[in-house]
Formats: sequence, structure tokens, C-alpha cells
Amino acid sequence: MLALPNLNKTGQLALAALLVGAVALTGCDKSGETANNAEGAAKSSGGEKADEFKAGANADMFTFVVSADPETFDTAKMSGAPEGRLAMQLFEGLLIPGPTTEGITDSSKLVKPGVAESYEVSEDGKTYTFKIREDAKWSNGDPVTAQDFVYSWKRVLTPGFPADYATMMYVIKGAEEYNKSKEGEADWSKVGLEAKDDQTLVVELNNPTPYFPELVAFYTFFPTPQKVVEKHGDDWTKPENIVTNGAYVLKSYEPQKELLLGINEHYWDEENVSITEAKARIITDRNAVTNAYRAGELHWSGTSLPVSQISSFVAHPDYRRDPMLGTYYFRVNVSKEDSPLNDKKVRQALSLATDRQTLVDNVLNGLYHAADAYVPNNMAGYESTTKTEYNPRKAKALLKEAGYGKDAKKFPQIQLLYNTDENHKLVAESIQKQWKSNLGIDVELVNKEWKMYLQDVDNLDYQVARAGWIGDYNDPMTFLDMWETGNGNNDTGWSNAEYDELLDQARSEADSAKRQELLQKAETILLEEGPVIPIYFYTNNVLVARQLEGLEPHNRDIHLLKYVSLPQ
Amino acid sequence: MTRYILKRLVSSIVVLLIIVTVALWITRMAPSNPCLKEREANTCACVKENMLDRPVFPVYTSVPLDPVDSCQFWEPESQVSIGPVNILTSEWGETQYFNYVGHLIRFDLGQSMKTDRSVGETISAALPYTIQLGLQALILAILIGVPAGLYAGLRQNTPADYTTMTVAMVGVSIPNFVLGPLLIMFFALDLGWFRPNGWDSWQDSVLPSITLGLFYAAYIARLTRGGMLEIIRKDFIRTARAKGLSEKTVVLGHSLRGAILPVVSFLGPAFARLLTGSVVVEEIFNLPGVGKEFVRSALNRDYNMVLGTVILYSTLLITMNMVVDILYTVIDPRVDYE
Repeated sequence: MLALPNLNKTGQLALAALLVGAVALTGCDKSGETANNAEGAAKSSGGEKADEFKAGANADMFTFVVSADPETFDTAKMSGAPEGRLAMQLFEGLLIPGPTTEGITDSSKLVKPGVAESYEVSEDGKTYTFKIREDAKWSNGDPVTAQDFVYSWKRVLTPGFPADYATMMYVIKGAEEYNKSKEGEADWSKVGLEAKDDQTLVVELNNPTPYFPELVAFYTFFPTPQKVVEKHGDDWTKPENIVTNGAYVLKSYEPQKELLLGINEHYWDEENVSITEAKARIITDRNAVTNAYRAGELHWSGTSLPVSQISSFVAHPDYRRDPMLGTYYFRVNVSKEDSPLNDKKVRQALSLATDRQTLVDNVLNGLYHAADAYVPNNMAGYESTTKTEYNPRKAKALLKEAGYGKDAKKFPQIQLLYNTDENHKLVAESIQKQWKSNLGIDVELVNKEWKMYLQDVDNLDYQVARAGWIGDYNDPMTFLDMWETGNGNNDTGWSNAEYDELLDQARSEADSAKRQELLQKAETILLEEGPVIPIYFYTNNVLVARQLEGLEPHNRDIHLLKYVSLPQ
Repeated sequence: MTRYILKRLVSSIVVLLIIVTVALWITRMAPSNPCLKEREANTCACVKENMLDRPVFPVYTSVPLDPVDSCQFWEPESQVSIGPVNILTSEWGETQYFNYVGHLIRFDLGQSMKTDRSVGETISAALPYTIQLGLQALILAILIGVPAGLYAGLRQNTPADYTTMTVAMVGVSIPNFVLGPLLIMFFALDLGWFRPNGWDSWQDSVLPSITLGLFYAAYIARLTRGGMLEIIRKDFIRTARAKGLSEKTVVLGHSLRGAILPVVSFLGPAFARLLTGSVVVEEIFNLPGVGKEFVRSALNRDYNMVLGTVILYSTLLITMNMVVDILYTVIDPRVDYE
């Protein structure tokens, strides 16, 4: 657009100095650094810079980050992580998640009393009777009763109500039928939910469901204030109208900026809540999160750090790497006509030719754990019996058996779909190289923007696609039931009658040892059949002010501020 | 003049309507939709709530609508729903387009398809930040650009001219996604003078304003210099000098008015561009402005939010161009609209 001016010698020197300066300054910016050289940088700079900043030094109150603007404060409608994090502070279910999942093998110990001070389970494991505490109150002083739960759960299940997670309630007797019935024809009397009196809630389930206590601690099962909803309609969640029953109330909300939380004076456990005011800053860009943390404006980074920046934090005392209940994997589409991927042996070969450990160590800086199974290995009370392996020789042999290789037909090029993200790109490129060198397979990488990627996966318009799954509760079922025939999350076209049968049996099995065995068998089938190729187990890489107490690692990244204190 | 303004207003409304029509069509043609989520979700409820099961534009059919089963007509693959609408009866409002325009003429931009808030609410919360940022950047650009351009123009082909124009060239060349992080690194993280991101007080707007305004300052400097070089050789300037007027009077009284004409014509679109172009700066500095909402809504396929921001941006652009045209008559008496 602009012509270069005619420069004399002085001018040329000045220009050169400016350009060199600009390039040098740009080089200082770590945001463009790739993960490949991050480890080295960590060793050279991380240690020296460790104490240059102090978390929260410039914050006026306890401040943390939510990664996006909450789409809604209505717990019945929400399904995203940012909304969930806020819902956990504002509302409270019958039970609440404990402060940590570390070292807990008995899944019933993962939750603590919430609105319900206790509960009883019938012998067959199908009926739960919750005793609601008398001092449970809404933030306007009204008591929280069993009827509030009946009202709010019915609201979630109402046909046509836009509740993303209504399916979570299908474990309740009659809930699925009610939710799927046509508007006007739904019969609530057949749903196994009853408020015997203000303090007693009885829930009948279809099957013994060992993870039900964890489900009722999930936001979809939170109570909704009936009077407020009826008074304000959809506007009941506006800061000026909202009434909550958790440890905190919503004092103000500025979109894209911040939310202020204050203590709920009517909360039953108010005296044990240490942090009385908190600020949730909404910061979408992860580099901006680390900048704010460096500037001492945050006590907790809230979201996982960008891979490119982790190197400068690994040596810092505030840095934490918490295991997550999540798996990064590849989906394999088995529904396309004439696709080599329809052959089980080919899918097995692809999995055997994947060197997960090398990928995690060399490409992802050891930030995650190589997936040796599909169900994460930190699942409380469960251990996978079949392990993934790296065996290129066996992989080659299998591919040959499938009719590809020397003296046979050439394996056609396949496409690997991933959504735009530096991490996904690194993983895809690495796997592309591994499959080429181990099997001689040509892989074309296809990068799409998130919504387009979702559409392709939803329409089964792909061959292999990256994916990730974070468990909704601590039970293998949350990872395994999505691969059942007809499940809306399956998205591979894969179907296996034996697998479906095993999960059905597991659902009605009251004996936990037998149940685990059935689920292990199902996982074995899944790994052998290969509609999924596990890559790594997620970890949560965060910064937490070291003086903070009570913000323990949680494998679903659920943290209740009521457990946290900030000693001065 | 009044007639001219009225004519411009009417044509602006027509242009705006065309923009709305095209934008609505494009959003619906873009792959994917607001209801698609990673996990299995209640898509049908979302589709119905947002009228996506209705045709975008009227389609002729004599079949009456069946609202109970309307979700089945929705074709996620094409994004253009195929549900029938009987244009022979009074079902125009049942098409997405006429429903939207119907709301629009009542100044209702609709509900966000992604959040609980209305589009109007969201924009009115975000707009003050964007406008303040744009204004500050523009003022900064003028305050730096005009004097720098004058200074260089009056010293043509001297080291001072070269240095000023080199700095201006660098200013034009550095993209704001490079400049922003650099400013954050030095002035926020190393020196601690400012916050790296967020907006609670006027200090927080300093770095974003510089990031956004520097390009325009550099551009204005070049425009002013060019204008100055052209005007300074004109006869009336020679005459003024020959009459023995002081250099100050010649420059500020006679030359400047003519020299900044190109700058004035640039300012209108520049301001509009500052408002619409703050997307990257808002992201870098995590400012709660309209640009951020625009990007987020486009990525989420939040049709109503996208259209709302497009309408806002178009209105700003059209208005700014009109204001510049009117300002021309004030500055340059040779321009006559009659």
C-alpha cells in the first residue's frame, strides 16, 4: 500500500535498526513457540523465573478464571464446562462432589452430603430414599424441599424442553418414556420419583446404578426454584432475579468480563465457608490467562494452560498436573462402503502401529499419559484387563492378512480429520508419520473448524477422526455406553451385539465384582474391534496459588469454592 | 442539504435491507448449525426453539403446515430447511427470513441462539467498550498522525522526513497481533505499568488503544504528508508567502485545511474500521467488546447474534460515510450537493 521512501545512508541504517529490533522483539514472544522445543526452554528458563510473580498479589479478592461466557445459569439446560463450574458454586444437589478424587477407590466415597443429609439404598439397589436437611434454604430464605427436586427433574424431562443432558436421568424408572413421549401425552405418574413429604424424596431406578450418588451431584439434577421460575419465566436466571441454594449467590454478571459471587447467607453450611467473595473472570484466550496469572491478578488459572506456554511454568511452584478422567482417541468410521477400515484387522493394525509413548514423550512434552486402554486408568474401582500395545511387526502381519502389503493390493490413502488446534495438529502429524513408517499407509490430514468438524463426524462423513471424552461420572459406563448400537454419541457406525448384551447385563447386575467383569469384557471387545484407537489420557495443567488450601486435584475438574480457603 | 440527507437515509435503509437478506442467506448456507454439539443433545428442541425447522425463504406449496412433526423436515446437511410453507395463505411469518425482518422493523434483534441473553442486550453491553476503544484509538491516531505528517511534509527529503516516514512505515507494517503481545510483555509483564488484559479503568484501555491506533496514526501521517506536499506548491500558498505572512499562518491557516482533506475522507471509514477491526485487539487484551461477540457468534453459528453484529457494523459504516460526505462541504466549499 505504501511506497518505500528514498533513503539516504542514515535512513537506511535507521530502517535496518528498526527492523532488526522488531524481529528481535517478536522473537521474545513465547506464544508462537512450538511444543517441540518447549522442554529445553523449561530447563533453561523455568527454574530461574520460578518466583518472579506471586499469584493473586494484585487481586482484590479471590479470583479465578472461567474459560467462556456462561451460556445459561439454568442448570436444567446447561451442558458446558464453564457453566458447570459456576453452577457448582451457585447451586447444590442432594449430594455434592467431594474435594478430591485422589486415592478414592470406592465410588460412593466420591460424594458428600449436600441438600440431603443422608440417603438409604434398598437391598436390590434400585430405590434411593433421600433425607433432605431441614436447614437447606434458597438464597431468599425459602426452604428447599423434596418437591423442589420433583419440580426441577420433571422440568428437565418435559418433552420438548431444551435440556441437553436429559438422558442422564434415564436411569430413573419411566424417565426415558416420559421424555420421549409426544407433547401432551406424557404421563408423569409412571416416573419413579416421589416427594413423600417436604424432607423425603424417593427415587426408583430401572436398575441398580452404583454411580447414582454421583449423578445426583451433577448439575442436571440440581433443584430449580419453582416460584422464581414461574414468576420470571426465562428471565429467572438474570442476576437481579436468580435465587440459588448453593454456597454462593450471583451478585453481578458482566458478559465477556466477569461474575461476582458472594456468600449465600441462608446456606446451611455458611459458617464453614471461608472465601466469602469471589470473582470469576471470563478469559477465553489461554495466553491471556497466563498473562493475567503472571501479573498477579489470579489465584487459580482455572483452565488448562496452552501447550506452548507450559514450558515456562513447569518449574514454577504454582504449576500442577492433575490427572483427568478423560481419553483422547481416534474414531474409526466403519460405515463407508468399500472402505478398508471396515475390516477389523485393518483397525487393529492401525492401533498396533501407534506408538503412544513416543508421541506423548516427544511431541506432547510428556504432558499427558499414554493411553494403555480406553477407560482411563484413574477410574475409581475399575481396572482395564486388556491393554493397548505397540507392535509394528504384528500390525504389518495383520494388514497382510487383510489383503494389503507386498504382493497384494495397495492400501488406499485414508483421511484423518481433526479440528483446528495446535495440539490436534501435532498429534495428527505424528500419527501420520508413524502409520507411514510402520505400515506404509498414506494418510491425508484434514483440518476443519470446530462446527464443520462436528458436522462431518455427526454425518459420518470422515474416515478417521480425532475425539476426546471426559467422563460424566466415575464409572466405566460413562465411557462404554456411548459405543452401544444406536447411541447418539457412537458416530462410527460400529455395532456389536455381544457388546450391547454385556452392557445390558452389567446394568442389571447388583454384584459389583461381576459387574466389573462384564464391563471389562465389553472394553476388551471395544479395543479388539477397534472403532476407537485410544491415544492418551488427559491431564489438567493448571496454575494454583500455592498458599491456597483445599483446591485438590479432581479427575473431572470439579472444584467447589466452599472447600477452599486463602490464608493471608 | 436536507434533501440530500433524506435521500441518503432512504438509500441507506435499502442497502441495509439488502445486507440483512444476503447475510441471513449466507449464515444459513454455512455448514453446521447452532444446535450441533459434541455430545448427543436435545437437537430437536433446539431446532424448534430457533425455528430452524422452517424454510429460510418462502417456498410455494399448497400443503398446510404440521407443527407437531416439523422437526423431521429439518435437513441438517444442507442447513436450508425444506419444511413447506403455504405462501398462498398468511404464513409468511413462518419463514425464517420474514420472521426475522418482522422483528427487525420493530427494532428487535431477536434472542441469541446460544445464550440466555437477547442480541440487543448483548450488543448494548459490549458496544460502549468498542466505541470507547475506537474513539481513543482514532484520537490517538490523529494526534500522532497529523503533526507527524505536517512535520515530514514541511521537511521534504530531509533526514527528519525520512525518519518520520520510516517510523510510519513500520507502524503500518506491524500487525496488531504482534504489537499487542509486545506491548503486554514490556509494559504489563516486565514494567508492570498496566494490566495485561481486562478492562476495569481507563488505564486498561491505554495499551489496546495504542495497538489499535498505531496503524492509523502511521497511515494518517502519510496521508497528511502527501496532502501537505500537494498544497504547499499551490499558487495561493506562494501568494500568501509572497505577501509576507508568517510561516505559522501559512501552514496552519492556509495549508492545513487543504492538506487534511484526504485525512478527513479517510476518518469516516477509518472509524468504522476501527470499530469493526478491533476483533483481534479485543481478543488479545480480553476486552468485552462487540468484536469478541462477533467472532464467538460466528464460530457458534449463532445466527441471530451474527446478523445483529453485521447490522450494527453496516449501520456504523453507512453512517460514517454519510457524516464524512457532509463534513466535506464544511471543509471544502467547492463541494456542492445541489
